Parts: sequence; C-alpha cells; structure tokens
Amino acid sequence: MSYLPVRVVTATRSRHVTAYATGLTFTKNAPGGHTSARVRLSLPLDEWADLVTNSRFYIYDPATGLPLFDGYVSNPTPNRGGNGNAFELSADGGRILAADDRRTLVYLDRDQEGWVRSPVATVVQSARTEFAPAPGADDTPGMLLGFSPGQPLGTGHRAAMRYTPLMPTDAMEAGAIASDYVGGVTSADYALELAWDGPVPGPGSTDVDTLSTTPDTMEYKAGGGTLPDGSRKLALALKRTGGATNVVDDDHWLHHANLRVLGRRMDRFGSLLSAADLTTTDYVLASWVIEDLIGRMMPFVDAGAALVYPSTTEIAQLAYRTPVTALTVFEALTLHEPDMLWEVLESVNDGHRFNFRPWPTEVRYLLSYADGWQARGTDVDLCNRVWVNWTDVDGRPTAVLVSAEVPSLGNRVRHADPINLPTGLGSEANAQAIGAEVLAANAELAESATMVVRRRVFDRLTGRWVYPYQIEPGYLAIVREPGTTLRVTEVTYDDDAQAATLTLGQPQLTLDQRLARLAYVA
Amino acid sequence: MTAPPYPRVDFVATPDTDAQVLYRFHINVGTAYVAHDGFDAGVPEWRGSPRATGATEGYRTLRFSHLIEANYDTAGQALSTLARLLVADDGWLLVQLTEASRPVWFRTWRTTPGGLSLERVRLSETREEVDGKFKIDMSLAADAYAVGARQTLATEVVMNNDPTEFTVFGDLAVLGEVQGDAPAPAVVEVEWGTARGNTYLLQSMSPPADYLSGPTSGTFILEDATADSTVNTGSQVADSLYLGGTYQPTAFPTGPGDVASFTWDDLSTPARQWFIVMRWAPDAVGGSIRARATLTVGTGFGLTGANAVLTASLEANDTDSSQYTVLGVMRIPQTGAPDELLAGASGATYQLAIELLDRDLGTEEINFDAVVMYAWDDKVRSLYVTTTDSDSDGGVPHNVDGEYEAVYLIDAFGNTYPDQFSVAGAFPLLRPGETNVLHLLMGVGVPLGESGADRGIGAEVAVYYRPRWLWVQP
Repeated sequence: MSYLPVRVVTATRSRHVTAYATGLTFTKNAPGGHTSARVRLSLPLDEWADLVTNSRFYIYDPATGLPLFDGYVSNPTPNRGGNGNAFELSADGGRILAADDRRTLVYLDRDQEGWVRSPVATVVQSARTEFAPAPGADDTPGMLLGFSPGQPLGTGHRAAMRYTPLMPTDAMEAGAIASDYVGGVTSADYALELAWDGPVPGPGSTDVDTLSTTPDTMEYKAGGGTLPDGSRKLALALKRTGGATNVVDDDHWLHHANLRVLGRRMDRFGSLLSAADLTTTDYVLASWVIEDLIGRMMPFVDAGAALVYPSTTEIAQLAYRTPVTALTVFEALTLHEPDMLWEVLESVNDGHRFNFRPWPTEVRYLLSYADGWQARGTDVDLCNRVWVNWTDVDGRPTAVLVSAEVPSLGNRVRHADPINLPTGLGSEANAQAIGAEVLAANAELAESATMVVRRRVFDRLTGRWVYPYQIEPGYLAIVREPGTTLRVTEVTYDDDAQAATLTLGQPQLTLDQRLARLAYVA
Repeated sequence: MTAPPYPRVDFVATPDTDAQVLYRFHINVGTAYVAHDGFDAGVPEWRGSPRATGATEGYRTLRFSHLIEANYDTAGQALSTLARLLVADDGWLLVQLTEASRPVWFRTWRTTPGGLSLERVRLSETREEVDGKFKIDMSLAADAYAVGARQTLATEVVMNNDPTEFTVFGDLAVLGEVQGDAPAPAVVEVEWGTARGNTYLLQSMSPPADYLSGPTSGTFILEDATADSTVNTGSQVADSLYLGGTYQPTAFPTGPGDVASFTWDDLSTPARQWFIVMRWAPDAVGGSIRARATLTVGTGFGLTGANAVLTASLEANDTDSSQYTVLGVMRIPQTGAPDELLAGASGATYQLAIELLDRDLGTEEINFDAVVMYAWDDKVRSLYVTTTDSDSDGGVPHNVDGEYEAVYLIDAFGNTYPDQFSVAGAFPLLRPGETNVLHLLMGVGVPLGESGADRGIGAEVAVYYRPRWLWVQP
C-alpha cells in the first residue's frame, strides 16, 4: 500500500485504493502546476471495467485531506499475466485540459501574412495591393494601396486588401484595427475606406478619411468604438469617391504603417470586452491574454477563484492564424514573462484552481546540503563574436557582426552560432542587443541543482515543518550552506522512497525568450 | 473436533473468535497427529531510511515447521486441504498462545509455499500405517501487523456541530483507551439526528493532554473582529444561530475587487500548529456568493518576520445556510523550531487578519460569523464525506470504514450503498497509548443543501476498530 491516500473516480464509482497502490509517484511543475502521476494498482481487472482514460485520479495529504495531486487518468494500462492483474496507471494533471480545445487566436497581429488582396469586383486589375515601404525617402514598412498612371477609374473603384485570419467561426471576432496612414497626394476624390463583414453585423463600411499627404492615425474598436461587434472580415481600401477619371500622376497611393489587428478579448467570465476595456492597440499584456483564455477556452478553471496578477511586458505581436491550444499560448507567454508562472492546481468549487502569478521574491523553503545537493553544470561555451542575420523591410538579407571582450579567450576569435532574427524583429538595434546578450550569457554558468528531500523542511509561508510531499513548486528555496536562493521548478514525490526530488534553478533565458523581448519593428 | 491444544495456529475463514476453522496445524484426532514447531512470526519489513517520513511497513514472513503424523489417507487429506489454502489468494491465520490469551489474526497472502520433506516417511505396504512424519516448511507472507478481535470503542457519543458547546466538547468526542501496538483504522458509524447538509469533515487526532484540559487551550473561537473595509460592513447583528450569538454583515457593492477585512489584535494562544476554519453564511441578497478568504498573521514574529498566509475560496447560494470554510494549517506564532521544542510554550501576542475578496459580479452579501482555531499536529487525519443520502433525518448510520477505505450505509434489508458517497482525504486512524479524539464538522466548504452548518445539527457516533499487534499476545 502507499502511504498517501489514493482515490480513483470513474463514471460509476468513487473508490479509495490506497491498499492496492504501489510505486506511487507524482510530479508538479512551475510553470504548469499538477503535471503527471503514476501508480500500480493491484486489482482484479474485471472488478473495474469502467476505469478508462479521463477517470479522475486524486492523491491526498492524509493530515489535511486536501488533494496533493488532482488529475485525469491518461492510460489505465490493464495488465494480465503471470504476475497477476494490475493497472499500471498513469494520470495527467489538470493542466492537460488546457490542450483540449483549439482556436484561432489573434491577440495582436502586425504581420502582413494575414492580409490578401480583396477579391471583390470593384478592385481594379492593376491596383497596387502589397506590403512595401511608402514611396519616397521613407523606409517605413507597411501596406501600400495605389493606382497606376493611365488607370481609368469609376466611382467606387478600389485598391483593397482584406484580413482573413478571423474568418473561421471558432476564431476571435475582430476587436480593433489601427494604423498610421499617409497618402501620396491630397484629394477629396479618394477615401481611406474601412469595410467589415461577419455573421453578426453583415457587410458595411465607413470612409475613415480622404486621401491626404498629412500623416494621420486611425483606431477602430469593437464594443462601442465604431467597429461593429461580431465582425470577422476586415478590409482596407483606397477608394475613388469622385466621378470617373483617368489617373495621371504616380502619386495616387495610400500607405498604412504600424498596421495592427486585434481580436476582441473576453474577461475571465466569457464576456466580450468593450472598446474602453480594450485599452490599447499598441500591445497586449500576458495577463490580458490569460484572462481571455480562461473565459474563452478553459471552462475547467474556476474563473472566480483564478488569480491573475497583472504583467508588464508589452507584447507587440501575438497571433495564431491556425488553431492552437491554450497550452501553446501559455508557453509563448512564458517567453515574454519569464518571471511569472502559470499553474493549474487541484479542483475547488467550480473547477480547477488556476494562478498566473509572479515568481515570489521571498524565500519559502529552507533546504540544506543535507538534502543531497547535486549541481547541474551547463556547458560554458566562450565566444567573442556572433553574426546576427535578418531580412530588412525591402527584403534584403542583412547581417551585423557583434563582438564582445572575453578576457579568457585572449587573442582568439571564436564565433558563436549565428542568430537569425524572426520576421518583424530585424533592426540594427535589435541585432546589437541580442548579440551582446548571447555572448554575455555564454560566458556565465547558470546555477541549477537537484536535491532529494527525505526529511521535513521548514516552510516560511505557513510557519510549519512540512513533509517532502507537501513541497510545492513555484516558490523560492534557500540552500543554507552556500546561501543560494533558487526557484523550485519541479517536485517529483516518490512514495516508495518517501523522497521528493526537487529541481532548483534560475535557468538561463533561451534564445527564443531573448528574441521575444526584442522591440517589434514591423 | 476436540478442544485444540495451545498454542493454537489455525487457518480460519474470518478474523473472528467464532469463525469456521479451515485447517488446524496442531490437533490429535484419531490416528492423525499434526503439529507445528518453531513458530516464528517474523517482523514487518520497515521501508525507507530510519529517519524517513511517510513510510509504510511492508509484509512479514511467518515461518514454522508443520509436522503431520498420520496414516496415508488422513495425511493425504490434510496435505490437500493445506495445499488448497496455500494456493488461495489470501487467508487468515489465527494464533492464540493460551486459552486466556488474546487471539490475533495474520492476514496472509499467496506466496511461494514451503517444500514437503519425505525424509522421515516410511509408508507400510498396506498404506495404513505411517512410520515417520510429513514435514512441511511453512512460509507465509502476511500483512505487517496482526489484528485482534473487533473492539467497540464508543457508542452513542453525541457530537454537536458547534464548537462553542464546551461542556461536551461540542464538535469533539474524546475516545477511550485504544488497544494494540500500531495505529489502527477506525470504523466510525455516524448517525445524524436531524436534517443536515451534504458534506462533513471527520478528523481523527491525538492531541497532547493540555489540549483537553480546558475549553480555551485547544479550540479558540474568534469573534468581534475589528472591521476595516472599503465595503459596507455595518454593525454586529444578534442572531442565536451564529457562534457567539452575533454576525458581521458584509456587503460587496460592485463585484470583483471589493475587499472586506477583519482583524483581531493582541491574540495570545499556545504556540503550536492550528487548523483554522471560518464560519460564515450567505445573505439573501444576490445569487451565488463567491469570495476568497486570506488569513495572515501579523509581521515581526518568530523566525521569519514575514506574513504567514492561508487562502481559501468561498462559495454558496443565497438559499444555503451557514458553512465552514477550511483555511488550512498554520503555526502561530511562526517559528523555525520543531514541534517538540514548542510543547507547553506560550505564544507571543499577535494579530490575525482575514481579508474577504469578492470574486463574482454583482451585489452580494455575506454574514461573517467567526474564525475557529483547532489545535493541530501532524497525526491528524482528515476525511471529507459528501453524500447524496436523502435520508436526512438520520436513522440509518453512515459507515465510515477505514478498514475497507469506503463509506457506505446499510439499509434495513442489509443492502450496502457505497454509491451515495464521494469521499476525499484519509480515513481516520486510532493511535494506541494516546488520547484519541474525533472531530466532526458539518457543512464544510462546498455548496450545501438547505441545512448547512447549523449549530443545532447533531450526530450520534459509534467507533469500532481492530487493534494492530506487532507480535502475538500472551
């Protein structure tokens, strides 16, 4: 039997199976929460025919009676054979439910990938509809709409592009569209038109402005900000509003820079936000995205009890144009917020407890070398040069060589693996910044370790000496002898060994995490 | 069968004194003579390192030589009977040293049987006489502890859902002396006398003696907090349904973000771990009420100087009556010293604060009643039982059966119904040589039926157990 009480709940029965359980282990992570568990249940198989995937699986703290692990059977693995009947059962923590649903999620899209030429008949054949810098000296990237000289135009003829990712019905509805625009000529016979369509509002459009060489900005939001609620298609056009004419000069263009499309976010209870609550179109915060995910895709979370702390990193681009799970978004958010963590914990009144919170700054657990400190070295790879490559807004491959002073290399010149900046992040400043960071990081040793705790350790949060199975990841532990404070990122408890294996460390940022923090260019 | 010679070693059908005997290892019937020699009960395998926490005992191995001296037919029959018992999945082995001794039963499990030695067997031509003995080296795998006969520890103990009724310890029942060597699972029959809600908490604990010496050493009820809120907390309202006869109305006007806080200054309780619950009720304003309670201990105490924090979420409908919400376990005052060093120490004066954070939309109202602190140690075992049993006025007891890790009720026709219960946590244990206390709290932590955690609810409790022995009993 296991020491910790074990309970399995199927469609027809709830049963404590502590007496039949051996080899019990469970793992919790930060970020992540309850992750996985395994146990062998020596029970006659036919006694439990409805033990299937998705049956509930609990491990309790015997003293408080509260769940240490709360999850779902991922594989009951019934075994028959010479050694007798048994379920070699594995279970996933509640966080696996975040991988159930897939949606098209556009929180903030500045990318040109989502835009295509409008297929409507009023878009004339030779109209220019592409992403290119504005004509003239300016190198600003963006959407260029225009008519070529010699083009005959009638009233209502257009050069137009439309945004398609929000068209699937499972996608977010349009929340906002905004840009900084300028024209090649000032003329009241041409207009900047914004059009929409979707299941709820039906087709419609508005003329935002007349064509002008004076730069201006536009920002249309759903929820009362003049963009109708429920729009799923958006289009931007340069429209001939005057009478029939022939275009003479090569200045009939409209350029949208800093073009942003936002999906309409929800609050955690599933209510769509109003224009006022869609605070800005310049960035999204991880905490806003989390609130939306809870309301949109995570009905298994107790929304009322969920703790979502405000985050600060302004995310300039976060769009998934093919359906993704909430789990995928969480992983992306940790790139932007490495000092915050998310966790799906045990179920409470209305669903699982969910937190999105900063890593604490106060130490919770007091550990010591007596708990078997085993530092995990990382490979130190000293380098003093790195090439950073990107493609500029005009499509030219560009590269810059970043160098750093690494004294122990002396006169030796050693290159790190080249870095490729993703689309939208290519700039000289970003290249210099990331290059310097990577060279500096290669010269450092990240501090991390595993410890095996077999005794009670002091918990400063509750003031108690807690058992190894009560240790929770997502808090700080101090290892007394070196005085090192480290994050507890994983706890695996083994009931047979009565030991908790803690993974500690403040891992170095990955290249992806560093890239996620760069300023967005286009 | 003639009276068995002692010591008795028998395979029996059940661990009861009047159970059917399946095989007797020591009898003398007619020409048959069977016996046991060199009985060794072995010891349980102790797992983990000596200082390990949360260890469980493994199996033990019972060994003895079994001798059969009989004619061919009798010996053959005995060998076959024994072999079938050894091949079976499990069994009960009764061991009783003398007629006046306490019998103990070892739960045995199928394992590799011992060999049969024919070295001293000489069969006659007619096979009617035997010259020598069949010797079998018995080797039986058994559970760690032997169990004794079922004991009744308590019957008809009245337990109230009211920690203020100290005359009978309210929601606590102090049990009599527990026999045995090792902690034994309890079978608790809970018979509710009046209408009740659907979730209750049953805890077994073994508190130190001072815990029970007076009403204020083991249980503290905190009333009359200082309310300091941005929301409307109003004045205390008298109502006999609430502990201490009053409650604090608390209205959350807008929704998420509304905070009400209550503090108690200059508290002084013995230094130890406390199990802290909050009692409250939804008021009939608004629909469902959801809030988060956060309890903090004032700064500057003990080793850490940091706030100790417990949080829990509250939920109820306005049709529900009062309920208890478990906040958790906290040591007060905080200190890094082990429990043992704190025994008898008096605590420093400290401040305790509860903050209620509304987490639902709309106007809501909560009647905040009190915070109750129960002395706690790590031997407590907590079980949350949720039932759909509609027989709300009692009559049919709930069997909280620690031996089988199940809760069920048995109707008048003897049918067992485990399906009406959903059980979370650990089943109660009784610890020999210590004071054993049961704690029963109705209306804990989940949305309730209409009767909730009313003070007037009571239950009659009976407690049974089988003592667990390390060795056989003289």
